[in-house]
Amino acid sequence: MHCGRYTSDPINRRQMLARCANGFGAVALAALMSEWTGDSALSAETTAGSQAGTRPAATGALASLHHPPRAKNVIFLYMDGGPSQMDTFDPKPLLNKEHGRPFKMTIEPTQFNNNGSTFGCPWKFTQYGQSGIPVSELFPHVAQCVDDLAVVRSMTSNFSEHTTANYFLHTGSGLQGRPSMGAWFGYGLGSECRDLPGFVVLHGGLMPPGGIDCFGSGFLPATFQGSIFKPEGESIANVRSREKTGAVARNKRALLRQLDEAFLTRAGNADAVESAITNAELAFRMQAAVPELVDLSHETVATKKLYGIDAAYEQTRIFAAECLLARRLVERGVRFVELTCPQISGEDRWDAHSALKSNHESNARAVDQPIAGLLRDLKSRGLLDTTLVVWAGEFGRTPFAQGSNGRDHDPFAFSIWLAGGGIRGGTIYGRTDEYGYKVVENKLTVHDLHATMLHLLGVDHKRLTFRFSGRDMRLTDVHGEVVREILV
Amino acid sequence: MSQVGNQCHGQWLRMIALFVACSLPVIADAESPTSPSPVFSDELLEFFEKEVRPLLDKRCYECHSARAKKLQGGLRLDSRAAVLEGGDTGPAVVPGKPKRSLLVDAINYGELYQMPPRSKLPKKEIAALTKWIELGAPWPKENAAVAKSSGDSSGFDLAERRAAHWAWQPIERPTPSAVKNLSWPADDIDRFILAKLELKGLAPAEAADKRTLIRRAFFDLVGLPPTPEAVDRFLGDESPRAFERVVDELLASPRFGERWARHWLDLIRYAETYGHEFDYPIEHAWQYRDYVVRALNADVPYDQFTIEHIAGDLLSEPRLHPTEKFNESVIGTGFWWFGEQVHAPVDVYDHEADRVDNQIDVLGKTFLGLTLGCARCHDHKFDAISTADVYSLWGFAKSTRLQMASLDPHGRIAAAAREIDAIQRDLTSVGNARSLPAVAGGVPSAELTNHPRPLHDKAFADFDGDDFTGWFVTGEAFGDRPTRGGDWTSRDGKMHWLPAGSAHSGRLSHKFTGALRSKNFTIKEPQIAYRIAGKDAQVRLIIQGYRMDTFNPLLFSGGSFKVDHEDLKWHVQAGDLRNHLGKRAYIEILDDGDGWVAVDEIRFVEAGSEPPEDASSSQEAAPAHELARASEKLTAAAAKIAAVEKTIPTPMRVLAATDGDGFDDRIHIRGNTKTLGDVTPRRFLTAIADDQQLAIPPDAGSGRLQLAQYVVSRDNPLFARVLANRIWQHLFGRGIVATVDNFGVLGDRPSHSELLDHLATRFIDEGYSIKRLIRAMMLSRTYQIASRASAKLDEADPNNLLIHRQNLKRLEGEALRDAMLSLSGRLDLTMYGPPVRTYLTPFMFGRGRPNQSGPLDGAGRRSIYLEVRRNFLSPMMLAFDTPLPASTVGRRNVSNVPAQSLILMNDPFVAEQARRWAERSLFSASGERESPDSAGLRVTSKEEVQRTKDESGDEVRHRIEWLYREAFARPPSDKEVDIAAEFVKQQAAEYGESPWRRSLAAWTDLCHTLFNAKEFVFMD
Repeated sequence: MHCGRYTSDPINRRQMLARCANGFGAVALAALMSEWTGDSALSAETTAGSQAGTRPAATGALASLHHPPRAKNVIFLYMDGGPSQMDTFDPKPLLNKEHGRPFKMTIEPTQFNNNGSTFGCPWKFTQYGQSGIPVSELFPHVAQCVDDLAVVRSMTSNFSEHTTANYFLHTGSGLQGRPSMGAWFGYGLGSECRDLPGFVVLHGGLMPPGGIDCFGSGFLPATFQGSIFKPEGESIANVRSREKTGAVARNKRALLRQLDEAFLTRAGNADAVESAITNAELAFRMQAAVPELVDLSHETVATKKLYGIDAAYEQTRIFAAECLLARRLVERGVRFVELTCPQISGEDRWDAHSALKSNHESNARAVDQPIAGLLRDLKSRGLLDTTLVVWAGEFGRTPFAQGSNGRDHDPFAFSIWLAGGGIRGGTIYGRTDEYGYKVVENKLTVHDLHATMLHLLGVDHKRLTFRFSGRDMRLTDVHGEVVREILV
Repeated sequence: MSQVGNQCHGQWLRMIALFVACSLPVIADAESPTSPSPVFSDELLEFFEKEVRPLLDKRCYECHSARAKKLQGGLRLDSRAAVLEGGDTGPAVVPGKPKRSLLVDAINYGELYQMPPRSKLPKKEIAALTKWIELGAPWPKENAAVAKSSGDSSGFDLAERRAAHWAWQPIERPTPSAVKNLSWPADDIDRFILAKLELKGLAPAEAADKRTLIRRAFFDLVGLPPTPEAVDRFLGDESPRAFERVVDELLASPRFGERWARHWLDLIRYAETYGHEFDYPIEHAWQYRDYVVRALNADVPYDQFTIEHIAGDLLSEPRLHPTEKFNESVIGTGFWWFGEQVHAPVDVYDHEADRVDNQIDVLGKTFLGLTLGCARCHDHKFDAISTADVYSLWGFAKSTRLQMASLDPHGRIAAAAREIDAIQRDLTSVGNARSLPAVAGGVPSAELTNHPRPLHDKAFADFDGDDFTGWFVTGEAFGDRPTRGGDWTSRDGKMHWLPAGSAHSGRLSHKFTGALRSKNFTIKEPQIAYRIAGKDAQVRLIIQGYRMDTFNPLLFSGGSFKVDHEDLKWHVQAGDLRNHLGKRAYIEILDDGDGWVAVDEIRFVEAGSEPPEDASSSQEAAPAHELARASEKLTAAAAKIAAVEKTIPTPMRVLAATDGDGFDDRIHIRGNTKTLGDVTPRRFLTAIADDQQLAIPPDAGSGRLQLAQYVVSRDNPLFARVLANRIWQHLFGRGIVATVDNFGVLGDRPSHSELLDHLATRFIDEGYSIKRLIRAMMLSRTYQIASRASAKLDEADPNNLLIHRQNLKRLEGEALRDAMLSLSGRLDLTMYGPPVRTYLTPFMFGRGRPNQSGPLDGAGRRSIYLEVRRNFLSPMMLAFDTPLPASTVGRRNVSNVPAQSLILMNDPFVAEQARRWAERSLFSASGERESPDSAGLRVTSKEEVQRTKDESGDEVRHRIEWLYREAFARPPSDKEVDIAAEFVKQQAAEYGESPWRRSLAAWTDLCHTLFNAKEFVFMD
């Protein structure tokens, strides 16, 4: 766990030091320095979605943004296991007509190779909003927000195994050990938060197959790794001070400052030592900031209700807390927030290999109201204009049954949606065949999604690179195109 | 609602109707791009111009024409000749044959291509293009110049690139330039450094003081802080060779191998699980870690060490462990297998390609400093490495198989096999085995009661020959041949006769283990039938090298089966085999324990057909006197064999490579496993070994030994340079080539190229001794200078590229943890063995999470002995930049994140070590040398003792001095003592318990704060 880059510009720091009579300055100034970092560039700009001009990024690798950004934060709602497209946002009446009959298209190899007949959708679709986008009964709350959504029905993946598809969705590569998108955003754009990490994963209870490497920094510096927060209890590892009294902690901190002050002088004010000192100061501050973040007692009853914090269903309550925390993180300038789903007893994520009906109903029940609450709350606070919200799983599900009542993995087509900063709401993009099995129009790849997300934050995905292994690595590898059709 | 997307347009029905009436030109079946373009009728040309060319223009030319910004797939569709010539994967169109035309497949979103990539064409457009091809692909006459396709414009010229880049040039033997300051250099290393400094008018920093130097040497060489006694000894030694003694002692310490093995494991992406979804274990992986520790401590020459990694299983005279006398060399080959592995891959060929890519990537970066992975999809963009070079290396990996090798300490197993063989040879005179079953002491082996039917024409193996030709044998169990008439085996104290013509792992003794592996074959039938018997044995079908089915059989059901029946019976291997037709596979017959297996015949069986029924056999009687004589002999033999069997130890199992038959891979065009190009015979890199080198002969197995010899050859300028540079990096904080894993064009150029060559030459001359090279570097003046220099020097060389000072280094996570254990007295220096289970925090979750946590303090063992679970890596190590085991990482990140501070402040491990260290200080510093026991229960028993001496001023000063000397290898200043004493007093006031507890808590706080001090975390 960590926060974006807390070390501020070396030249400024040097100048600062030069002004200190005894040659020691960083420790005393540490707090001030990180305030600086926090307040610089991006955060001073854009409220209520005004189009900012090109401006320097906070403390990321980019000296300046490549073009005016439409958003400055991302909330990624990760639907672990792969929700079914034809049961959520891509209605296929033909499926119900041919239900139980042999599937007519050629079937590609599947994960379980236990393919049954054509499998109709058990839920009704209704058109909503001005746009009339159809949404299934699984998402009654999100359906009320469709005019803010760009529904992409033509998403694809290169992989039909969870782990590889997870790595692919998160890192743009099916292999373990590449930097996650949140790490890339932090690397490129830096952090605006004063005392929180720049890439936070709110852990609802389900760790995706592939584990924490889905949120890793790969070859990027560890600074940019996703920090895993639990929505309750001790939210980050080791953030709770274990000192018996405040005085015990203060004395230790004071002694440490003295020791480090002396060592820094002896080490000739070496940058590395100075940065380590700055970081220790930040760590001290995080001990207060994180508990404050997760303390929801100051939220109004109405707000909590909006998210479903009081819901009857325990998993709804968990995801509601995650969504509310996501808003609070964005408010504090955290660049990239990812949410994982809560654990539902008896169900294996959205991974409905059998009993599709109970699986999807439980999962949708857990996330629907909290997501709608998040969208509305962000909107009412003017934050939706500067926050990009993405809802996606790692792949979709087959239009034919697995066994009698499940669906296997379908990487050839699935539905995702985007909302918020720079997104043209009320849009449907892409089309699948009449069964929803494969994309036939406007195929979108994970690289395209990443390119579009970076674009919205003012970054040209081809120009955000990191030299590793003899190559200038990119989140989008050598692929990716911005999908302008879903942008404002 | 706004629907965004392509719209259908064009009136195609009309067009199709028009052309049904057209007469077709005569099209040659195999029209080649060079054959003269046929002349088409005006109607056909009009159709092309109106309906096809605009369509091609609109849908395809952005990527497949002269106007493409970047031509995709090497394919142009803007001339007929180009269309016929096609792109990387061959002709796009076969005129008149839509079904054989790749273009038609692509626009129908076939397996290989789905074009255009964004959206499938409207049905009418697909129909038009199909029709156009059916009509013979009419196109107006074009002149040759236009028609000529763009061809290969990449401009890849390997020889030119080799000539242009420094790393490919032979290693020179440079002499250092003259230096002005003659008194400073102690070694040529210093002369190279000083010469460059003097060129800029600079001088090196002052020598580091002795305390700094010894702390630096301890952390660099053994990864632990020096004890106050070691510091005192060094300070007291005024001889000019004092530091040399320290270095030699440390190099001779077993702790050296433990420290430097971790550097090596970073290169090899060492892990003990496979990662992916469930993080299945890599069995016996830790034996490799121990091998590296031993090899570094024994200073095994680096060329030998490298050969062992690539081909240690193939050495005719392997290196033996000095006391245990087992084959060390073979353990090195474990390095091939530490990559990530996936279970249930939907495309097993793709998965193999990913594994092999990783193997070759690690091989290239580790031993050659080359990024070979970059040439997987195209000739290297910058380096003299062609795609063919890379796939010729893939062949070595694909000719190589994983084995859990059985090692034989002291050769006891082999000796027993020889003895038993000799006893059995004596029995050949016993006579016709088949006639003896009725004799006491000579009983028929149960599996022999049936004869096989005559061989089917699809038999894959019958084992009727005199040896195992066509099979690969490892271990002792199968001996050197199948059974033949007159063979006996001993079991339960009796001799049993064996049938002729079986591969039998129990012939010599059931106690032996071993494996029999077939050559590669292509799966052409959905079933494989084995006439087989055995006990506690296993048969596996390894498809494209995939082995994870034993953890999770999904998509590979039936591939492995256990053999546990004593009668020869047909077993049919089927299940998912039907889904793997066309894949490359081999059969592995394993006897891993005290059981046995006998395979009489293996055949491929068509779908639906059953293996043949067995016919029953009849037995002939033998004359009585013959039986009596035989019986005596057999009884004696059984007793002798039983006695030998008692001496057979259980073999030591290690993860290793073993040879399969040679396989030359094909170029994967654009890295795609579905577009295979030319065969690339196995050979070494052209840029090093040129074109004249011999390809590996077909019968030579994988050829890894030849590869290894090329890698370590003096003609390879990279080999010695890359390692010398790695050592330099570990001692100086930065490589002479900073990009230690990439000596290519995109890597950094050497800061001191002559010095690098000097070190490489020295390394070769001194027999590739890693220890001697380390020693030479450390005894240089350059190593021993201070990490702090004057402001003037720092300004002149701000990034220290000229090495005017040493570099300040932050301790790695392992060294930091080991140092805390060392100070706390908890360090357990036990070496080797299975890893200590990972300690699981509440923040480590996900699939494959072990159901049991290991101890918080890793049982006090050094960090190298802690378990490395890919999906559950230690959060502390991750925070301090231990790399993910994905590929070679020769240069770790040195990041600076608050998590590091949070760990040091609040992690219970750190707090516990601080408490232990405080306890030690309360006892040891006052002269009592005993260390607290591990449970910390002595606290109350010592209470009385402490109460009496706790508060004395001298005692406090003494204790503070001792802590400083332990942590920083220096005594505190008076001021520091005062500050610390005052702190302890303040803290004690906050703890209101018994005096002992108050004292312990206060001193623990001091120790904890010292752990947090940057002086502790950094090494200057």
